[in-house]
Amino acid sequence: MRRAAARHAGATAVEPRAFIIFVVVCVALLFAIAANAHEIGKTQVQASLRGGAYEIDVVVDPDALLPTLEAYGRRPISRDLPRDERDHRIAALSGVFLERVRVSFDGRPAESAFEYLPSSAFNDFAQAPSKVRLRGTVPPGSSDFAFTYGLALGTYALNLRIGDGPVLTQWVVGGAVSEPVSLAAPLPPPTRAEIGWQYFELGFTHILPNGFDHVLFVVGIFLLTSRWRSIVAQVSTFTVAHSITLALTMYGIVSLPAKVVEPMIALSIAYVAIENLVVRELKPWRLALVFSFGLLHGMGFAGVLRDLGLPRPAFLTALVTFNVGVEAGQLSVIAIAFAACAYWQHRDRIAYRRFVVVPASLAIALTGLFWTVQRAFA
Amino acid sequence: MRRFFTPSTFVSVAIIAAVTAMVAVANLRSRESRASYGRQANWRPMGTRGAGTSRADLGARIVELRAAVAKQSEDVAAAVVLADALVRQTRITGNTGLAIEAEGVLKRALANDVSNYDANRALGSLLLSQHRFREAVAIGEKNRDARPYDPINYGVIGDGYLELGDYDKAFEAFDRMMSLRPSSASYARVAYARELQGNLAGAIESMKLAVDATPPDDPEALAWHHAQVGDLYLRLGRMHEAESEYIAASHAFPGHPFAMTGYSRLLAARGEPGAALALLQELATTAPTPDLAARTGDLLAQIGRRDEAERQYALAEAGWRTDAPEPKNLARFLADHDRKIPEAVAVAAGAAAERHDIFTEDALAWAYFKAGRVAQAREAIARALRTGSKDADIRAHARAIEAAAGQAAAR
Repeated sequence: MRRAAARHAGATAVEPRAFIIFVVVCVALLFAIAANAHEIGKTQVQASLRGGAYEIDVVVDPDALLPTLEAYGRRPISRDLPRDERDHRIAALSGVFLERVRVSFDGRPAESAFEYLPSSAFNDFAQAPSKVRLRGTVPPGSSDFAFTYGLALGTYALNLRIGDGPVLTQWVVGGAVSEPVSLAAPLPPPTRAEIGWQYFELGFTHILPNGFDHVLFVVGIFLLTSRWRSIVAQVSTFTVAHSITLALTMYGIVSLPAKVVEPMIALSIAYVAIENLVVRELKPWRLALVFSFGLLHGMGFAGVLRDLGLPRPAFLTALVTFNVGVEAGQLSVIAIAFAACAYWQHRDRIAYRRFVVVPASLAIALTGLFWTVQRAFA
Repeated sequence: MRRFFTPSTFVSVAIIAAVTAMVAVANLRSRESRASYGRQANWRPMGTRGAGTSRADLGARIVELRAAVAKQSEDVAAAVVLADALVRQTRITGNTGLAIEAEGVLKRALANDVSNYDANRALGSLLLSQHRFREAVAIGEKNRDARPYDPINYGVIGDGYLELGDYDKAFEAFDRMMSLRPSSASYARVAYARELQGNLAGAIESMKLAVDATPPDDPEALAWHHAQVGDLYLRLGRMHEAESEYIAASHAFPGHPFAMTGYSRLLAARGEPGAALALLQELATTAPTPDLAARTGDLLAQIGRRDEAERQYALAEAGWRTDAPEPKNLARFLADHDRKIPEAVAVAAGAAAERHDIFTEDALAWAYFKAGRVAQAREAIARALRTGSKDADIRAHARAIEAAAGQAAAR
């Protein structure tokens, strides 16, 4: 009754400056409500650490804060106080507040200055939350920050900003120490060039040394003929095909389950090697087949790339440079194979076929078939 | 022999040896190599196989999954398992903010694949844990239409209707769930339905089946089910059996809050309020709630520590107003302790406008009774008794209201 009367009296005597503050607070609260539509309790903690100092605003319901402080301070519980008296008592219980609410750096408690900013500062806005502001200095050399709010019987949101970094939100149970947050400045985000290089490396290493099955496929292509034009034609066809499916899969346009793709890739390795045993020169159907196999291998590359994860801001850069890395890996395989076999290719082609192409293709074919069975029934 | 050791033979042997070595290495690393073609994030829902739910397992799992989801927010499988782990952690720690985190995780995953069934199904359960019952029913019905033979959807729909007080629809959903696949989840729901209808023996029988059907590598769920059986035995006054169940719960998952709360009630019922108080105070250090403060206050009042009880009541009231708003519980608390009765009526009426479950109707009836509005209290308590529940508080309130109505009629 008394509170209602006070509210009425306040509403009839609003000063212009107070009215502006009131409007600003209302707008701010509307935004706060919109931003935190699913928050559970009314308690919120906004912490900011900057320039060797910290400032922590605890948004509280003063009608609930006073009995809570009195209960923890083992004092008689006040009832139905006028707002001025309520706010006065809250400010007087700063010692209890600081006992239950702790700021710590590297596990050591810090001394905070307490300031109570009552909602009554905003004139007659009875339901407005009040604020408790804690201020202090960050001990030099500190590496982490933690916060304990021992006045909540439930969960509250701790929103923390370090310097100009992003706001980090933690949900913490009242009385529990928050997870320590590192004070080290976050690493700057990588540049586009750095991302490009990183994904180029990933693409390359996916072939050499990690991609034994792709290496065998490329060696299979190489072994068919010693004519470099035929090798270039096959490798280019393979490249175009796997680039197409890599991009389409990564953009979610096509998709095949790994259980289908994996055995088929193994089968493609076996096929290329077996064909090397029965054919001595490049036939048109070989190019068509290499193209189809390239489509399959592209889906395999996409699986790897998905597991690695693509940075959203540089999706295309990462996709293209990964592909370029794969190409570089394949060309390296061709170059190594060429260096190893060039002497035999040009000295005695019959011996090269008999002692290099046939046994190597046989080994590759058997390996491909083994992998096919293994992957199909794994 | 000399012809065999030609340079050509050496090259052939070297190539074959190299290929053999490559194959050997590739097969040694075959798991890694094969996985590279597929999604490595082959997450299994918790409590099925391979992912334990002990306190340490759960914490470690959440850290691991948070990192995986941060790296790849569109990985729906990982998001669903993380959401499940966070909901379980909410149950253990009382940190309801984790459910909000889980919702954010699922919604980010759904942004890339809005119709993803698994994520929508997980969202239904999550909304229930946040007491957003109407939304949970809506999403549960949408998921049921997409996959009518998935029993989980009927569980979500039934739970939602149950909390809203639409018991016919709730029980119908539970029957359907049970007929599709008996499991720990469906047995537990049947148990609760029986309890609401006053069949406590039947409820115990079903909840025990739920215990038996819980996988042994899901200790958190096992503890929860044991604690539920303990609560049912306690309601029947079978202390010894109740104690065994709480001990089993604590053995499966040490410090499970449901087991600790239940055991403290058992100790109080046995006339050991000091021991019950110690248990609640221990629990309050890790998972403080207004409900816990109110119970602590009652025990303190029982042993004559009136001032301390008042402080706990003040904490409970402040907690329900600010930290964990639960209008039904606040109203019931105010009415039970004869505090701010007009507010108790207003709060209970507000809650009853939203949902019509028997406990909200009971809170309203009790608040009306304390306010001297006996006729309205009779109407509300009739609604609270409509399922035939044998809840001791509801029955006691009904008796008090009937007695007051009788006195009023005699006058």
